Amino acid sequence: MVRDAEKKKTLLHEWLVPFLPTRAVRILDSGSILEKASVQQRLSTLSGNCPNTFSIYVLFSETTEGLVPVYIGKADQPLVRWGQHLDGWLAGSGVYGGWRRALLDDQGKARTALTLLVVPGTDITRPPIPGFPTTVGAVEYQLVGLAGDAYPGRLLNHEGVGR
Amino acid sequence: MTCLREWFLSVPGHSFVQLFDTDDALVVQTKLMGSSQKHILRRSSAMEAAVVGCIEQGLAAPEWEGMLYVMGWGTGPTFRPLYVGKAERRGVKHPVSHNITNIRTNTSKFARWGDGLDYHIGDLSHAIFAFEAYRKPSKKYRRWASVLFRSFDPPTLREAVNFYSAPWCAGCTGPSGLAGSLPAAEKEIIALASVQFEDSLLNVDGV
Repeated sequence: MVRDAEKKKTLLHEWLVPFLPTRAVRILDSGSILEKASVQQRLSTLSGNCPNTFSIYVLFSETTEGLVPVYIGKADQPLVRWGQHLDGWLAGSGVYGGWRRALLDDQGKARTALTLLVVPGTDITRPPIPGFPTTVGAVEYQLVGLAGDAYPGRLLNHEGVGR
Repeated sequence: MTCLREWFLSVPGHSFVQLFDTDDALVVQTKLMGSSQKHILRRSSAMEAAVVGCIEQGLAAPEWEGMLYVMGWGTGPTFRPLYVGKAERRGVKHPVSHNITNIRTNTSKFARWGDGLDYHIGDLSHAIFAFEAYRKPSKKYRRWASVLFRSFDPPTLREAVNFYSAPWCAGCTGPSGLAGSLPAAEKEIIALASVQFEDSLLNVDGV
């Protein structure tokens, strides 16, 4: 298959990496059990940098090849949304069955460390793809499209991912 | 900003056809289906020929990954996208999606434009004619109905609705100028359309 996967990987990281020092937190260590209270405690350390505004969030798996995006979404209230994600993920219900299988082992322990990045729309000054829009929705779709081709089979988003 | 209209016109093998079978007054013709004689909107013969041609030629080519489609108003350089979607070669569970197999007779699915519920024409007909079904018409298609139709009885369009389609093969480049998958190209198109056609786009995600 002909894919500009490396170029897409570069665009993705050029956009994401500058936000990591101030907008990201590790929510789960490799081998640790998923617990809602523990993850929410870590997310609370983002609170000053995670206002209740329309934001994009990216969940990364920390792998030997670096940070690999595994889920990309947007929410008016990212911390509230992540509370819902955690409930679904813990139950493994519906689409979250895929989250459990991909991110946790049979004992419910994290296969890799996981980091969450939350970027408020007000922080977005440039698009991931040159010449594209910078609205939250448009940036989310650019990131999903780039990550789906840059890391085939890794993204847990149902839409925008090749089969 | 990258111009989406210019990109649509640059895609090899693209075509614009009328989506619905209409009369001169933009009344969409219907057919009666099933034991309950449900009214279903008719696709135009040109649209059906475009889909059959794209799918049959595509399935004969190993590098073909699916069909990109866009419902919109106008055509060519005045095209205004309303809804962007795709029919992929691969299914979720099958190497060839059931949405596109036996396309000439597969009128219930018809590359996502089929007459059945959970497919565009069936769901839009459900929203317009409110026939009995296992569920109520969805909010998505009630919105489509109100945007596309001036009246429901008879079903009369506000403006002629066109159907853009293009084959997607390995190596095709999206609006970003980068080669990629059909789902990635779809996301790029919606990202641009959400801003360039903010007032008319019916896709609800990515905007």
